[in-house]
Amino acid sequence: MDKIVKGWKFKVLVVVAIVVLATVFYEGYVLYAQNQKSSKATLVIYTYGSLFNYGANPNETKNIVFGTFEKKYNVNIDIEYPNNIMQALESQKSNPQADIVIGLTNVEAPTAIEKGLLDPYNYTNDIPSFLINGLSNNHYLTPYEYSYLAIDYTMSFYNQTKGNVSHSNFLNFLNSTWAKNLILESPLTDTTGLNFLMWQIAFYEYVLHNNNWLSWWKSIKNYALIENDWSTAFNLFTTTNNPQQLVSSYSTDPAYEIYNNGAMNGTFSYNSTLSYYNNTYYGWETIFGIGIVHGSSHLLLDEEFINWFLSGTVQSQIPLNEWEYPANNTVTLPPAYKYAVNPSNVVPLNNYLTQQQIYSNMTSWLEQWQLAMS
Amino acid sequence: MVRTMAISNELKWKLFKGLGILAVLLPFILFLFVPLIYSIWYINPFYMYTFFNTQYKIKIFEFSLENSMMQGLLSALCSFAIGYPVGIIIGLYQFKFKNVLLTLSYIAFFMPSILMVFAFIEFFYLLHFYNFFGLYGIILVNTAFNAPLIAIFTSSSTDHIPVSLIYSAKLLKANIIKIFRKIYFPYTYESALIGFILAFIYSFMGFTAPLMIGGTSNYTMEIWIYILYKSFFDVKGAVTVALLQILILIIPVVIYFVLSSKSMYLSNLSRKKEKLYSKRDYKKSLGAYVLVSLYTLFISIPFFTILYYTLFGSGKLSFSPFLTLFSNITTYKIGIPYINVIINSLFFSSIAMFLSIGISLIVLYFAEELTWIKISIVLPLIVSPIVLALVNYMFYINIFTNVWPIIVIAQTMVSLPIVSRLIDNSIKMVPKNLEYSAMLLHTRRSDIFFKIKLPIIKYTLILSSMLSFVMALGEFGATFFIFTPLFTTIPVSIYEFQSLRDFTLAYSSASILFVITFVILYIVFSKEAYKWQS
Repeated sequence: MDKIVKGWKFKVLVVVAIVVLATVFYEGYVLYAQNQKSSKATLVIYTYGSLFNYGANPNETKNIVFGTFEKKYNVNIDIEYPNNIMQALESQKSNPQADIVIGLTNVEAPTAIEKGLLDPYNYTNDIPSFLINGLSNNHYLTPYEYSYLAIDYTMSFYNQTKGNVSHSNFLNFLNSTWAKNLILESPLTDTTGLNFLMWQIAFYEYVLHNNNWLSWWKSIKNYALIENDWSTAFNLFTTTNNPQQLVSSYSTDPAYEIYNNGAMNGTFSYNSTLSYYNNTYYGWETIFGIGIVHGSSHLLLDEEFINWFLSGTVQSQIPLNEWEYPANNTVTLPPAYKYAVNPSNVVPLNNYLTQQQIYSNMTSWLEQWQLAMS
Repeated sequence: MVRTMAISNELKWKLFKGLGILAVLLPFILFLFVPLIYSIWYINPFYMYTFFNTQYKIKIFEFSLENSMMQGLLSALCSFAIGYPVGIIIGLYQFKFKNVLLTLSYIAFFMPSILMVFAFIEFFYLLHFYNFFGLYGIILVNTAFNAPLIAIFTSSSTDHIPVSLIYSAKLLKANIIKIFRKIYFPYTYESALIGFILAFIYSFMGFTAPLMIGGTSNYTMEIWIYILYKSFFDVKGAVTVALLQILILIIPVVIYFVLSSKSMYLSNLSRKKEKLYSKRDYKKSLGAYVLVSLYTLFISIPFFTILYYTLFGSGKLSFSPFLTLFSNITTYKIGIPYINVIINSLFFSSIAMFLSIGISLIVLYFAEELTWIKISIVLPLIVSPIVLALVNYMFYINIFTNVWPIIVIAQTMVSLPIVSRLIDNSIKMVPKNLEYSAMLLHTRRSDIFFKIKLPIIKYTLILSSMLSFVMALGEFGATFFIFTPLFTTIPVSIYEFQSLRDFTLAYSSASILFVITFVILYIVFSKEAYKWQS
């Protein structure tokens, strides 16, 4: 017996047995984890990591938004944060894993619709028509929040430029002193970056009537800082002692800044501006949408969730947790929003670039951008 | 009768050997060749022509190739400039904390790329240097990865330098330059060159550093593959660039294979032989002292930055980040409890370790003399983790119900080339006369292998297993490409926390990975390890 135990065959067998057992146990654990979820109907939601993360108590907000729905409909909600939502939907097209997608914007919408990744759902209660038409007039996505893109600037930069930054536009960044202060997001890796590119193209082509929009990027490329995502860019902008004093972000940021740091006494450490030209502010409206993934197994539940997400209860959480304007126009905005850029004073450039134009030209624009920045 | 029995045994062995070779080749066929051939079929070779027949793509290809080459070469050169002299000093001198330094060197090389880049960015933030970006940043990170690799390879090759030769040279009053030129260099350059080529390959395939700190002007081919797939949804384009990258990497990989087949790098790292220069010599040699100190400082930067931010992130010493990590906040953020993240990581790495060691041993048992099989094992080197993940994901996504087997396959393929060469070189050092004597005594082939060869290389096996485990544990690129939340690993969780701007959790998770890796590698290099060997 002792000889057998000491033999190499026995040792090899023991190792193999341990590995097989470990695999069996692990597979058992995976099945358990999956079955635990499937004892009730499970709604799988794909979204971005920062959803409802910018409020005072993100866990409580998520509990109001998702926990309440779970209890009311006796379902599980499984929130997943794919690194790239569109790519995740596209790669799972033949075998969809998600039911609902939250966070696709008006720039991504045409591609998602053309690729057949979404199912339409007609929800229009209390949603202004400009948002529905701006996102998807055939209702593949329902708007839930929106805001203009903006350039945030520090008050120190405001003083340096003697206030000029508050009514500046893209042309000001042709000056390297301005460009050196700018942080942008890459359109190849970030939605905000992609929307910013649309804003810049639309401004050049339809306001300046200059088709050479690439010249602007070539001019700033050696000075501006291009980050991979909005969170990194914004985090860097708000870091003490950071040399860059401008960042591409959202026009609601002043409200966030006042609410969190200005203690509502009107003291800004940064503010926002859009593109100012011929006494008019031009901006790019980013509209965020929620939609049903094509191939979802429980459409009725999906529709109920969209109804819930657009209801006053959830929509009232948007201003102080997402720091965007809620799509539901019955929601009253908190006082801090009086410090945000007033959207009614802005001419949206979205009207100049049709969704079909965006879909047809996107690849070419991104490739040209990539080459210009190389 | 005896002759008939001998023929029958010979036939049995051939059949057995054939099955063994098939068993070895099966993972490569299933998880490398078949997915690659499938992806070639999927894109249709004519598509390659169409793909490049557009105005912008050919230009983007040119500049991404140029970036990959530039980053590969510059990083390899810098790594060589630092790693080679440090390797010689580590190999020749005896000094305090040498095991700690070796352990740190190993950790630096096997550290998850995301962690290394992240740590350097934060380190420069600490120094109020906010623009740690561009080519210099990439080279710095790549050097921090690869200089330790070259140092380890070089130091192991110094074991072959005959001590008597050095003493004779000294007696004949040869100066240090002459000793270096005539003795040190000829004995060490091959191992250092292998390290150089590996440094080139790894930097050429750079992903995390160019993505996080490089900016668009420094995007490599690897990043373009990722962007084509993730941002342009152009699977065919991604596969096309991936195949071209494989073709380009064939040349350095062949050179690596040829050199590593004759070199004994890493083979007897564990031998506790007498060092040429004592602790006293080391202290006296100011150059060696300064160089090793600077090197230690350089490779320690990421570790200390991570530990500093984890423990003192809130301004005072606090262990609460670890408690947060194991609370339900983590579940909210990444979809599963952190304990499950640890279970996933440990399980995947253990299975990957078992597979890579198992495959390497089966190769040596059945096909020690078959070079083409050994080449097959090194082949994953030309297939980057992103490409490996891409082709396997495309092929297996509709076959496996869960993605974890694909993660394990990718992690195995990533560690296999290094581990198999390590074991192969070690087994070559087993004295042949032992094997011949056993054969004369009609000892069975299996007994020769398991009772004579394996006990002799026991330490290398343990070392290889640990390295394989650590490599799989820190693997980021392929796992990140494939994972779903249920199968999140520690490196992926670090990236997830960092993406959510939750640096406290990111640092805590990084510290856990660092501690696990450090403990494992330190055990390997500790005195206990020498006891196992003896």
